[in-house]
Amino acid sequence: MTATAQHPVDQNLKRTVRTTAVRPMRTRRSRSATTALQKTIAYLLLSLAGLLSIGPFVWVGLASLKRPVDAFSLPPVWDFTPTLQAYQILWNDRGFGHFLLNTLLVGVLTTVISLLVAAPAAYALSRFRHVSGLWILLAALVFRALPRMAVVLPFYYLARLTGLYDTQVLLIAVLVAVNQPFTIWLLRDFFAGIPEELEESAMVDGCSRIQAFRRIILPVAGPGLVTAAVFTFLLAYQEYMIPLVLTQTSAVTLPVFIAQFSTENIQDWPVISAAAVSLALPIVGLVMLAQRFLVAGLTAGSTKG
Amino acid sequence: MKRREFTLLAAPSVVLMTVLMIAPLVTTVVLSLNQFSYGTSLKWVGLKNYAQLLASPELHSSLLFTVLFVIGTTTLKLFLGFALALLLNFAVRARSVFLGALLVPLVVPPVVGALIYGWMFREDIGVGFYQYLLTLMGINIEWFSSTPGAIALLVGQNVWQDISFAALIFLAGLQVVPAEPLEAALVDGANWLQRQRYIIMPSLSGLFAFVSMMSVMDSFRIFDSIAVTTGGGPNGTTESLMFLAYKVSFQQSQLGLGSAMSMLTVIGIVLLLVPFLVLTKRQFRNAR
Repeated sequence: MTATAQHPVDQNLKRTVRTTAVRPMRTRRSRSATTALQKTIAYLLLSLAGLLSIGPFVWVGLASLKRPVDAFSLPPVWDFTPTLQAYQILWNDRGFGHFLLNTLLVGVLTTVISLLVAAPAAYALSRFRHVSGLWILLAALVFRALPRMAVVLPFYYLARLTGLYDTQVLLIAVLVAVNQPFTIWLLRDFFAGIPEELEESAMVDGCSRIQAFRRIILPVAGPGLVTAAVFTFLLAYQEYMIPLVLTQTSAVTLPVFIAQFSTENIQDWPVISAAAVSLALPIVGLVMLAQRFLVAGLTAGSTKG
Repeated sequence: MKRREFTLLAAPSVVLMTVLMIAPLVTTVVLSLNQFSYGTSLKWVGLKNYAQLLASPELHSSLLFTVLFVIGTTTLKLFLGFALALLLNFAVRARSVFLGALLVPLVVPPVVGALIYGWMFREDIGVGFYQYLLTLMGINIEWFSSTPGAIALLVGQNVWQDISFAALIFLAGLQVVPAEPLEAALVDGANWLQRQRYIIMPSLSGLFAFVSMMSVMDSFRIFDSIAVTTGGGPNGTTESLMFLAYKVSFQQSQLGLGSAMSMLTVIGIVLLLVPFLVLTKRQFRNAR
């Protein structure tokens, strides 16, 4: 590791050194010779990491295109004739579309409601310097870390009594609540980065605080809102325990569907693989489109503090 | 900002969290003092559930597994995540391609990632490609029927799926490491390892704390991946605290005992959070 990872920092140094005109005590030639070798090794390691990262998905993607007899064979059959049979079974006979639509519906509604509720609160928390704001933030931090079960268990008990069990309304309400602390923290960071002079000058011109927030701050916070939306949607799309406990048939989301399906029918492995691919593709596509926002969200707040 | 404005803007969120999080949490505390299952009425038993749990070997073994899992995943994520960040920081040209590949497991739902990862190591039905490659190399590990194998499988799955989070955080940090101390160190003849140890790592210490905190919190409440790979086996040796709570509540229908189990996990997590809460409070005070 020592020899191979040497590069990144050298590279950094090279940049800074160049600008400040302080050269390291090494000859130019020996430096460029090691550079080429180290560069190759670093890129090889990165390629290996990338391969390990997506390898299982490639394997499953191939399986989804195989006939069962090829899918269950090791050593692997590489020169198979691809077939969409598994996808046909999945979408036509297993009602995958229904679960996908339900998951998307739950995800989108959770995202919209989460942002509508969290954005004003996050803005207020970024501007209000009284100690009660701190307590709300600390409470949110604790909620963010809580195990789902501690919150979901009473919902299960009450929902079965009231008939809300297995409905989208309950699922969305719980998802919004569980995601609220995270969304508040994320958005607060973005709002804190917007200078207060912006809305203050608008308020001097006669805007109310609410108007200033709606007309001046929200438009500027666009990228932050998109980041929060991507994350909230991801959390809702990925969630397993909440729908597992609170749904049974009509409000079931994809992670629960796939987990159940795969433990019950492992002999349908190509079909399960097709399900995994069908579930992963939209979300991977979304992430490729929104990589910038995802990276912004993941690193928000971590580098400032 | 005036208090009236703050109240107006923050109220919906605060009310929502009070009704949908604080109230259920308090309910869980009450439920944990009762004996009941779905459909039966509550029967007050006081602290009996807690006493029963604290004395049960199942809780001890699940606590042991959870602690091992937390330590294993967090250590690996810190080391490998930092190494990946160094590599990514260097690979300027193709960075977004590599980042894209690394992000795929992170955005796929953990259950699905765990299912896929588990299949790669199955030995029984001809779907385990990695297991096949390992066998070719003469390595034969029982990932599902031996305890060390099952723990390694779960740790590996978690690291595989979440590593890019740590890598991204460290990468963001590396890009803002101040240049002057590095130059000085280089002029003084510090080698690569010394520069990492005395300049880069101290300047990223806040990020190491942040990444470990996130990893500890998430690993402490691990459930999804266990439910769909080892199912807690072999012999219950990979049952995490949350998995045990789920099993007790919904498979054995002892909702009171399950509530108590959840509350014990809550207490554990809050204790782990204390340093982070103190840090946040200090930052807030300084900003004010």
